[in-house]
Amino acid sequence: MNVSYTLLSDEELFALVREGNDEQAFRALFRRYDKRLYAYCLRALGSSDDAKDAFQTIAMTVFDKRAAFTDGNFAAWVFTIARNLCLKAIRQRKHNVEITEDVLTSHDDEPQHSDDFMLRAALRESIGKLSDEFREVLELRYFDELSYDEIADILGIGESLAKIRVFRAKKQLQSMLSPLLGELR
Amino acid sequence: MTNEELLAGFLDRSLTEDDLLELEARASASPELARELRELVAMESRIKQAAPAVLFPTAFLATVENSIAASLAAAAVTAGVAGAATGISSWLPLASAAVLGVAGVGTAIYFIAATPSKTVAPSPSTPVVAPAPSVAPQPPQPTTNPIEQPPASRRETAVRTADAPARPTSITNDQANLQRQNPPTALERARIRFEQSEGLSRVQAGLALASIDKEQADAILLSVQMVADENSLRQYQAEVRARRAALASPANAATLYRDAIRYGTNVVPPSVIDEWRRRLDAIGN
Repeated sequence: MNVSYTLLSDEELFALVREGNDEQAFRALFRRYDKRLYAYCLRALGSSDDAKDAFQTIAMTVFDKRAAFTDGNFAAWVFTIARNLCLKAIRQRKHNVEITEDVLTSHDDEPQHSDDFMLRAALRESIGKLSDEFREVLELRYFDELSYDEIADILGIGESLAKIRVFRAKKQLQSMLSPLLGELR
Repeated sequence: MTNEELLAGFLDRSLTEDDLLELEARASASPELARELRELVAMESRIKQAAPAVLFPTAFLATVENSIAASLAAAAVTAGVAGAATGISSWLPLASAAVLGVAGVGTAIYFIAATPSKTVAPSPSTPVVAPAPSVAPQPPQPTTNPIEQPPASRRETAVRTADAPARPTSITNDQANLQRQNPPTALERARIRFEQSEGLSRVQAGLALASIDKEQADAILLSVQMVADENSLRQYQAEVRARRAALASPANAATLYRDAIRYGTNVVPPSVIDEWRRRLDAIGN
């Protein structure tokens, strides 16, 4: 078989996994998503142990249900599974937890400006204050780097509504941060 | 279109060329709109930078990957055996007919020529070697729903199956293997993005690429400048000239900073324009 895996789309790779149990296609696909999904779980659940459990469940679910995905957008499908599992885990815990700093690292390789640090911290805090629907759509767009149609699929809303929510979320952030931005200017 | 619709369209990259021109015209006429546009663009890049940096548990991720890969390998083996069995079964009726067809003749020959079998059954004292158990991990049971399993058992499953030896790859393509072993670097990814994009996206991808590829930065920035000029993207027309100025000789840098200031007025933050003016003054032109 003459296959250059890096040139294949997610859906093409997954078809190889589903129909041919192709191990190398699986590995190529796994590496495209493992860090994004783990980061998503960590953000949603707040602790690395919970994120690991959720990540493993997602991976096993994708593997077990591979026959069920025959068309559509793979990223949207995987993130929908991730979202449902994380929501379920949160419901089981009955309370939300804040993301803990011990599982986060700073950008050690980047020079840190105190202004940048302040702004980033303020921005994270402001994102946390957004309503769930705005925060979620913003994080999916900018942290998980999903397209608007993928976000729309995951949330079960129209693409235009996804765009509107992202825009409004940004406007809200803008107004929340304007005093600080004024000071830093 | 309202100003807000134009702003939203600009930020989600869905404006047509005419809409972009309309937005630029309105932004030129309204300092307030221009400021809002600037601030929202800046906000967008700040949000991206605000993504929490995560310490990835790479060993754990590799364990999960190996575990599922091993299950897939086992499934491939099982499918192969099943496929072979299917092949045999389709020939079975023909083979049976052939056997039955010769059975009558065969029986006669047997009764004439048969001799007692010389095959010796193993004596009780002969050591019997049982077939070694398969080392291939078994795929998960189809009735098991991993969502319902407790986390601890899931992790044990992954670790247990990961202990199994890896199946040799069935892919022989050297290029594919090489690419898997050497996934594209950030520079290669940035270059691909730059080469495959157009318009505003090409400008943004080019600026990112120029930040990584220091050796080719000037040539990349020149190419970006042409795209920004073609599309009248004033903010980027200014930014790319300032970036080029930082790399250029003093004489060229002065011209580039002057152009950057001209394009950037009203679309780039005043503090940035001031900085470019300071650099221009420092050059002494």
